[in-house]
Amino acid sequence: MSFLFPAFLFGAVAIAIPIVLHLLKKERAVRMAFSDVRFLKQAPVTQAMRRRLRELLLLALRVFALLLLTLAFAGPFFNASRLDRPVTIIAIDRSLSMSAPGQLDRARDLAQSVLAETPAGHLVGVMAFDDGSEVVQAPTANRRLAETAFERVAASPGSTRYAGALLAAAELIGSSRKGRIVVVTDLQRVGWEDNTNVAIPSNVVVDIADVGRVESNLAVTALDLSPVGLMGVVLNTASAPRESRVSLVVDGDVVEVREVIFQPGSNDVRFDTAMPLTGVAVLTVDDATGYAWDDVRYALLDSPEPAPLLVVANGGHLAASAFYLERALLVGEEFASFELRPVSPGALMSVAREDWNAMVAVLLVGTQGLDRRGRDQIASFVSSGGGLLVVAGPAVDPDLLVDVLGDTTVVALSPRAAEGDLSVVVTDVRHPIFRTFGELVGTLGQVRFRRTTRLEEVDGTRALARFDDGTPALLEYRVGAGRVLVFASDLNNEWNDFPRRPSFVPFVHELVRYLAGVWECPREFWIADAPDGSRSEPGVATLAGSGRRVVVNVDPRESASERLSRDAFLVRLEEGTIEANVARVSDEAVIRAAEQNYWWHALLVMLVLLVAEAWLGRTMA
Amino acid sequence: MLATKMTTSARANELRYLDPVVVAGIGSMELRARTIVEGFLGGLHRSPYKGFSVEFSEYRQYMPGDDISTIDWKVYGRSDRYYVKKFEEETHVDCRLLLDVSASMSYESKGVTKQEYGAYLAAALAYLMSRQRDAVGLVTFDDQILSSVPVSARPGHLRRLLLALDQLKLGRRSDVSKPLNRIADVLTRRGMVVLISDLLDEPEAIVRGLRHLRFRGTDVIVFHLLDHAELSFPFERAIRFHDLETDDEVMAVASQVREYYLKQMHDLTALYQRELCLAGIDYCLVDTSNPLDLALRSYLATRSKLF
Repeated sequence: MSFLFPAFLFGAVAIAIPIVLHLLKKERAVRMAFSDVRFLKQAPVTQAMRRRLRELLLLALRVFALLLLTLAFAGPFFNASRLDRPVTIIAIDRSLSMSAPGQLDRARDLAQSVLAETPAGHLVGVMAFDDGSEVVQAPTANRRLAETAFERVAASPGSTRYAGALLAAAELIGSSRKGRIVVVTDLQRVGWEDNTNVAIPSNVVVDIADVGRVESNLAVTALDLSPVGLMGVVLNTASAPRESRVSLVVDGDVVEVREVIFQPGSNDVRFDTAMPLTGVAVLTVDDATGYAWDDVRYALLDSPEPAPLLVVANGGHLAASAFYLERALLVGEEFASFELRPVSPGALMSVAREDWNAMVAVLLVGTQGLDRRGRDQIASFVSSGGGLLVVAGPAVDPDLLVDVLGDTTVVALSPRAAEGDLSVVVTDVRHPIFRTFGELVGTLGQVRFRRTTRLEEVDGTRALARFDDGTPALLEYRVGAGRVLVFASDLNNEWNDFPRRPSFVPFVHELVRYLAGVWECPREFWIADAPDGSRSEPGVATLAGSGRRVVVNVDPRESASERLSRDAFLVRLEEGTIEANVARVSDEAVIRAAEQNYWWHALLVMLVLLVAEAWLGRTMA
Repeated sequence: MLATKMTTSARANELRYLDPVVVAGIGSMELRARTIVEGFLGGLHRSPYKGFSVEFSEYRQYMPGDDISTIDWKVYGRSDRYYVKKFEEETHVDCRLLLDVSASMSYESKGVTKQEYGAYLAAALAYLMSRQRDAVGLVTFDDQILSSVPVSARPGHLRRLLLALDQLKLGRRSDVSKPLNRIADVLTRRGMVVLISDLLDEPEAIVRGLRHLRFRGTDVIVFHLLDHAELSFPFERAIRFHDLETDDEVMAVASQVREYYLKQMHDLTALYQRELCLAGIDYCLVDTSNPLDLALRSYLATRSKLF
């Protein structure tokens, strides 16, 4: 016999209490002189014996009652393999594809059939799975519980993932007894989409109960902004065209409703209607016979939030030293991709910690008043993963800049006047900064540089572009987790005519985008990936913390109707072992203890003993 | 009122000296005996025992409570004082006090052993008898006669007897019938035998022995002394009872055996009552926690029947 909580067995020392009391009670009989014990000799001999027997019986009752109490708390169960009963786990697919009318009913019917065929000696458990798994009923000998568990399984908008469900079912069976997993599913191919096999222990057999496919399903699989409106994609899984109605709603207002004949496969649905600059668009297709939840898709019309940039400029005024840079970055005005926050070099200490953390990059265009603390703050920002663009123009003091990053790589800078105008040549056209230019990267060579800052390359730096005299025009190097770009001239139309060139705006944007790295601000989530606290079905959600609005949609892959054959399903199964871990063994123990319920029997017997003890004690009083 | 209070107070004081615990605190047996008797007699408002007198003189001064018929009016006429007539004893009795001093008599639960109580009672009886000019003797016994003070009425004999009571030694096992039979064999005159014992022996043998005495024409009074605990068995817990005479030990839960014990004790006393009554023997069950006057009254009642 094993115990769930063996520490409670130490409570068995409490049985010493009645024993000690019994002995102490015996020892406390006093000795007393008496004139004549003849009468006492006759009477108490038999009574004493009888009483002694009763006292021993009382003692035994109390001791056993205490023992049973400690046993009950210890959670006894039998773990021996010969007592393990085989287990059948019925895993029911509840993913999006099972939400079509009648699918889940068929699944329940199949589950009932499996239950009826399961031998009487088997324990039966019920699981429901989509992209996760849930134990609806732990393995039990009570078939009625399993039947009621089937009714509790409901369809969900989640995706199909067989691997996780099978592993969870195998763990539920354990490694010490025979088991069988019956997967009740529509055998959707997307359920094995990660192309990995699953290791199932040799004591477990996997069977399939095929629910069958849905003949026809219409699903909105995409909805995106287009240059002239919105573009949606509707998937028709039937082998024949289907006519249905689509409707587009923006912020609750019906924009358009049309009847469409959908050919088998994906169908584009265009809405050449000007969309508002903010709002939520919802595209819906009528499909009463297909899956639920994939008939609708949401899209945010809001522009992406601008990325915040800290611009360090003399006096904190961008107009003086960063006018052209500012104008380039704010292209699009209120829909600009960037938000500039100017600060003077001497006022860096006034920038709050949380503001530093929110910045995606720092643009250093001036150093007047930059002190040690300011330099340390910039260094800390970069080291912790931020991006820094140094525009080594007239407003930047090279001496101050030399140690702007402390003990990190030192880049020597010295302004110089070029002998004749210089032009720039990109040395790495595949670099992300220049990749967007494509064939137009050569237009950068049209810029004329009258003055530049001489940059000296040291170990760890990389020249992304050079002037035609060979000196670096754009240097890149890493500092800690961040990156630094140094441009060897200004961007304010003083030392060159770059701001007046067409390539200026894209160059500046790509520079900053590169420094911002992969600063992401996702606007759409699949249901399975939705952040905690957002929706569990398609719709619009507000993220906790940031308060940002996002849309949640079903995974469009789940709408696909391609199926697996049984063999194709089973071939993904490999023989393996489930690593025993304390938590799983513990779970098994809990299940066994719950199945066997010996603790309850122990308490019942203890109760009976206590009643007997009370009655016997009373008769002896 | 004041006189009544004083009388009540004086009476309470006298009764106090009948309390065996109080008596035990008195110095000598002679003093104890006198205290008991005077305390006892002082409470008799009216002496019911004709033939008894408080002081032995020709005349004595009248005392409240004396029978008015005993006032000598002639003396009053002469002296203008009340005197009662002297009563002479017309008969004397040989009294033998048989005192059980076996080991069982050493039991006590309230501060006075049965032996001590028996000794006080014997002393008081001897004192009373001596005052009545009866001849009194003493025999102490366990399973045999241990000591004997012969019957006598001579002056000074009382003191000797009381001294013997003061110097009692505890005996061994009980055998009441043996000394009874021996005494019965040596009796030559009618007299009175007062047996003071706890009678924790074979009842039939004791009754036979007492009948033997009675058969010889002797008046017998039996004072059956039992301690209060022997009569009520007030114990509750499990006790290992140790027999004072046999050294036997019995472990018993008192509350469980009480009923049986009390029944046996009741049957025993009832047997003595019945058998001795049939034999014409006065039987007095004495709880040694009670004052001695009850026992003394019983003696006087028996004594008065002789005349």
